[in-house]
Amino acid sequence: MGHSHFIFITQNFKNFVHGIDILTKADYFSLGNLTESYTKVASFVARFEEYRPFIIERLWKVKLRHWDIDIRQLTAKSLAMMTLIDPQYVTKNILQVLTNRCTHKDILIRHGAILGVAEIILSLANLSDGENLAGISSLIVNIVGIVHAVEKGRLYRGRGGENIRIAISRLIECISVAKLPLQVKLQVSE
Amino acid sequence: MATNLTEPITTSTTTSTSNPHFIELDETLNLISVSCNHNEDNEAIQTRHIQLRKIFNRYLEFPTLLDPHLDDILLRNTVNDDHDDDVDDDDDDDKIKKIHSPYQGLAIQCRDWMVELLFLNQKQKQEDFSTMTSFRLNECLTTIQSLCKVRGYKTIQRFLPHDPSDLEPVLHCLMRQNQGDGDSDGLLLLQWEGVQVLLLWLAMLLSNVPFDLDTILSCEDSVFSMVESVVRRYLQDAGPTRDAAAVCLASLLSRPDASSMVCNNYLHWALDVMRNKEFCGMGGIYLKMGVVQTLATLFKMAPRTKLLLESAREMESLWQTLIEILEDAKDMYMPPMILRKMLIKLFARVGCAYLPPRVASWRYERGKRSLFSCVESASEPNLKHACATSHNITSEEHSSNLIRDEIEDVVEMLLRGLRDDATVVRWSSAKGIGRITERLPEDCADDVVEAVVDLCNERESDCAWHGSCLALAELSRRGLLLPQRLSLVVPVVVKAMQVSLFITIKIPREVFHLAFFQYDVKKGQHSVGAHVRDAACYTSWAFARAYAPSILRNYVNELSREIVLTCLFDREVNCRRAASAAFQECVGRQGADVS
Repeated sequence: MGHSHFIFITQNFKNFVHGIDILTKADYFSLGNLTESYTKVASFVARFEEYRPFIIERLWKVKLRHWDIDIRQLTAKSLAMMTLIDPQYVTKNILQVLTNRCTHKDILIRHGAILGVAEIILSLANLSDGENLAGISSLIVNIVGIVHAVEKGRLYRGRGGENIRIAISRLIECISVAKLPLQVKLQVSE
Repeated sequence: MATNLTEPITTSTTTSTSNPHFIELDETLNLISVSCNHNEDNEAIQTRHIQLRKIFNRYLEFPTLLDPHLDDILLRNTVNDDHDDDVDDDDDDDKIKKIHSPYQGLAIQCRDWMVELLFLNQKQKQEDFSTMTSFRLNECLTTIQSLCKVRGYKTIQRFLPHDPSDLEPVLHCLMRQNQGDGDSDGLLLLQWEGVQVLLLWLAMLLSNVPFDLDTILSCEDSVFSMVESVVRRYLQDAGPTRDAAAVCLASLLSRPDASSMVCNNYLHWALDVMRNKEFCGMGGIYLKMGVVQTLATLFKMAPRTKLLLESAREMESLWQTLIEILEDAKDMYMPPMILRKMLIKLFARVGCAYLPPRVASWRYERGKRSLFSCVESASEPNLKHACATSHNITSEEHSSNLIRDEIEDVVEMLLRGLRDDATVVRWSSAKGIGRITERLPEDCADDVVEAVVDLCNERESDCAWHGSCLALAELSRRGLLLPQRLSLVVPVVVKAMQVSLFITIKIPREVFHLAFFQYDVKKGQHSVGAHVRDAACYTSWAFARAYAPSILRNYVNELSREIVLTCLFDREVNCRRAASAAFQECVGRQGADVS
């Protein structure tokens, strides 16, 4: 089989777009580690536009409310990397929904949403010096208000409350590092 | 399960891995050759054999490394064979040269001692000598058993002496063992390891010796019933001797010179055992398992019509009882699980025997399935792959009226087996469904496919989903899942890959199952369904191999998306790896399609 023939064949792998590229990255060994497959391999595959929407959708719709807390944390990390790849898509489609879910009555959804929002805004801030944050100032008010809203809903208490407290701490950390504008009243209450 | 990938060899710690050959060969051969020395005391013999077993046990993970040397270990004989020695000197086989003393393989040694025992028995004297011989025999047989454990009995059987004259000593030993349990006159007290090897040896002799048994063995009664009664008592054992006894009995009954009387007698006895309520305890369960195991092996070995034609009436009455037993054997604890597996195997084999052996003419055939021909097709504009082959339906094939009631029973039992709690039973059922469906006419086979797909619904347990995925993979690999059915099947497989949780709700008298997809709820008794996702990956792997790219093209988007997502985000490492293997198969075999 000559070289030109080989190129001809590989170009015709139309059914599975970028199949060979993905195969070389997502192999037996790299997938053996959960963290690696959620971060490195996933962000590699998400570089291909054909797969990106499905990957982001599966992450925030399904995996962010997984019953295993490790999976939720990894998903938040993974979403942060997706934000670096495609900030437009994430801010447009996800951030609003996740912010609303931060006071959801289901603890799994609530916890995942808080973690997700925290990691996403940190990525947005790191990306191009916060230019992306400027466009969503109204949403940012809501995000900053999450801390207060969760407290108001007495969601730090009861079963799983300690996980929520950890997640909110992470959110506060991310808000601070991202230098989101705070009102004086909020600054004092925190 | 879907992947054939094994752990990298370096991670294992056994001695054999760092040196991928049988490094203890010289030591082993030396240890074996010392035993020609008749003055050795018992303790020395025992330590020697324990050493040998230790060496063999090291190869449990890589048993095939022993293969080139099995002949040396078991069969080699240089004692009365000078000519053979010369031949070896001509070769530059240093390992053989090193052994200067006369050398006999383990099996040869065993045979000689058994002949000795037979001879001594006829003379009725020298009791001391006899006990010593039986001690050595026991040690030696135990060592052969450890080889059977490491390499599998079917391979070892081929390296046991199989001369017609060996039949009598082996049988004699087993008979003395039987007597020995009763009183001290028998003088032969082998451990179960020894008994197992003797039974396997006898099985091999019975299926290979071509002459009539009457001419080899002398016995006042019928030879068959004598052998049968010797072997039958091991059928109720809890250990591996039961398996060996089942193989042995099956070899006996499948002999061409076994009259239909012999088989009928056995079937009558089997029916008695199965029906007898006294055998319900633990010991009885083992006996039932032994009987079913024998029948299952028998249907594998004997010509398919032999039992059905010659013992039709007996089989029919046994049939109903077996179905009842399978329904009773629903408990979770160990032996009934194996009993269920054995029954499923038996049902599938009997079902195959009732149907004429043919390859379904209606099946999906793709011709050559080498990867190269698959890649080649990329350059051909017109794919030559035939869809389903021509439907030359003969009148005989089309009529589902000819399907016997037994076949319906079989299919029903196998479909039920797919939902069984035990994985081994589900696997056996999936295999059985593949074999039966291959012999059915098209319309019946399509019903089977539909029934298998129906098992995947929200009201079924995780076991049913798992079994269904296995069966679908099996059907597609045999070409029995026709392309027009894929539109029904692919969405089911994709759904199975998304399965996240199974909840079982038990209220008195009734059990409800609920399957959840993608979203995870944690309530009640549940299973996370990882095995279902793994099996679904295996199924899509099988699809990628089975169908031409042009056929699978319509489903590729759906499949590839789900496979990639499972590959990246599944919680379980085996599912991620299974999905990656499936993706590799898809890219390699399906990607080359020109759209």
